[in-house]
Amino acid sequence: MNGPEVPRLEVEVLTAKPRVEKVPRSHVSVELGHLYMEDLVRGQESLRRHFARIKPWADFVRSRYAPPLRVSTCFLVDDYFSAIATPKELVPELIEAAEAEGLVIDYLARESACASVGELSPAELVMAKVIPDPPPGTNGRRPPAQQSGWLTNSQGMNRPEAVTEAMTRLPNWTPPRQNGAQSHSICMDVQLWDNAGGRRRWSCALLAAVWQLLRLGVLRCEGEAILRPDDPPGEYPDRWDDLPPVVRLNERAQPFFAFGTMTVLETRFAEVEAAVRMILSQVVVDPVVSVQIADQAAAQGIELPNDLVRRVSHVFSDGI
Amino acid sequence: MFSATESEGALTIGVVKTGFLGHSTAVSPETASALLALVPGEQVRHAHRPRAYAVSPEPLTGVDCEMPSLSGRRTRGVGTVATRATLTGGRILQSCSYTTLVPATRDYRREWSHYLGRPGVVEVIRRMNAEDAAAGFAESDRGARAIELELIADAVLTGVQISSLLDRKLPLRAERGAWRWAFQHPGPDEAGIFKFTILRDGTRLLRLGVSDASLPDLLDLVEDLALHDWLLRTVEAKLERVQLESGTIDRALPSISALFDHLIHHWMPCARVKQELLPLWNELDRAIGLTQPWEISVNRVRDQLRLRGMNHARGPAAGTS
Repeated sequence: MNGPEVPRLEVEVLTAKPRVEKVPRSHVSVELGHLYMEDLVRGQESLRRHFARIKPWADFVRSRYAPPLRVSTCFLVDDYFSAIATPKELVPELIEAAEAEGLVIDYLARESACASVGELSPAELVMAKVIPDPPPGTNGRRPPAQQSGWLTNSQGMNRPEAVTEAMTRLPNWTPPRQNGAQSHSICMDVQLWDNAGGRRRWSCALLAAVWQLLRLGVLRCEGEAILRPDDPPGEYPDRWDDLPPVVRLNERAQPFFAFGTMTVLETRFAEVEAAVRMILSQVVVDPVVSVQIADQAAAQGIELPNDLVRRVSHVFSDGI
Repeated sequence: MFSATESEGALTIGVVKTGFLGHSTAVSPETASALLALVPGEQVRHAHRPRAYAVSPEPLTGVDCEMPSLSGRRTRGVGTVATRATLTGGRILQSCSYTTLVPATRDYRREWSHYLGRPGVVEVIRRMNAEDAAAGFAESDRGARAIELELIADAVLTGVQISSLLDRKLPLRAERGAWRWAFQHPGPDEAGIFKFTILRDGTRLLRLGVSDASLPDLLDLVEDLALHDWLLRTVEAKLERVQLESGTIDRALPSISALFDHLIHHWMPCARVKQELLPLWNELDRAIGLTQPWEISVNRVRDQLRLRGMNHARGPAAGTS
């Protein structure tokens, strides 16, 4: 008589595979412009003018992504660098002005949440994901540069204040060079933070990069999605800190997180956003999250570029 | 991790460094998590059976440099190197830096975000020759390595060792073990590859061509080989020293018993090797020589201790009679 058949034994060796939270996603997250705090407090007329300029672009995106494709809209309040008006005053005004111009703000977020929410600092999380753009010749011999508070796309940027035509012929002067430039360079140094008043103050460009990464739904802390949208409070508070980081204003809104983002801005923001794109170009996504998003996209028949920067679109316009 | 389409003709090169964690005792899983948190926000993974094992998330290092070559050809590669650190038995620390070389689709360097979209991959711009690169990296010391994976792995290992959580009181001195390896996926008509070389400085070089094995599984395999090779070398080195000081078993006793206290029970081959790769492990074990010399060495250690026990029992009595 034969003994019992021995089954093929499989032993899972790693007990805790990285578990990463999956989040629902829209196709596109549209940001309905941006205003500094001093612009926000100029009153209803000024806010309506702002949304009127955004409207055609928002309509354009909606026409490209008609239902059943999913679009969500958002607006980021600049409460990090100053907080002149309170949520109680400002949020209803914003909703009203957008509505008056035929726009619905699905989600309202506060910029200070990109810096920190309680113990969590999304900005710090992003800094841990920065893999600096290596100048040619980087072979691992030199350790990565200390976090200096700056990020660059080039080398040799430290040069005399003004370079004259004569100086370019001096033997000890070498021009800066963009890493990977093919013919001509566009060199950028971007400041990520300073230490104002003894504490780290994140730059506008860094916080805006965090904001893009949030909307792309690529940030996780110990596997958990961060800054998931909350329902609005019964009454808007007097302090921005008392407002949830991301508030769902429209209860029928499509998901906040999206496969791609579209940001409509006035031309004066072009420089900041060039810096944002440069920061994003040096950020790597947790590979487990990357694979999860790629699977999600494939299951929905969405073509998603691996390159994170190519998921982020901008429109700059002062009105058409 | 590369997909099936990318793996054709791809070459993965890497190094593994192995050493004792600089601490007087084995550390707890909680401490292991803190030590291996190389990317804030990403998780350290643990296994508890058959023995404690923890593996870090994988930080990346950007490179834009020449690629390894045996023949001296100069090719440029751009991309990222991934590094992971592991802690086995709360005691044995390893770091592994690796990257997969693939031919670039353009003949110039692209925007950096392109490379960050394929972590752990270096794109070789123009004329990639996988054979020449693999041989230059992991077959002899004559080739040019160009890309300093060893320094990247060393830096990660050192970064863990200088943690303030460690007391730096090592119960046993042991040299850091170094393995340099190259994996290729042979084409459908090509034979597998196996070449093993030991350099003068003790570095082990391994070239392996196997089909149907995933990169994570091969990493586990080579880390397991490197760990057991390091255990063996550490025991052999101790025995050699004892032999040099022959007749002084008493003096050698602390270090001999330290082997038992801290090292020998970590011998657990294949604990993390995928079942499909066990035949390969066994073949490599035979070719490289791990299990057999290990048994001989451990028996010698036992003999030494038994001898010492007998001397001890007989010694004082013999002296008084």
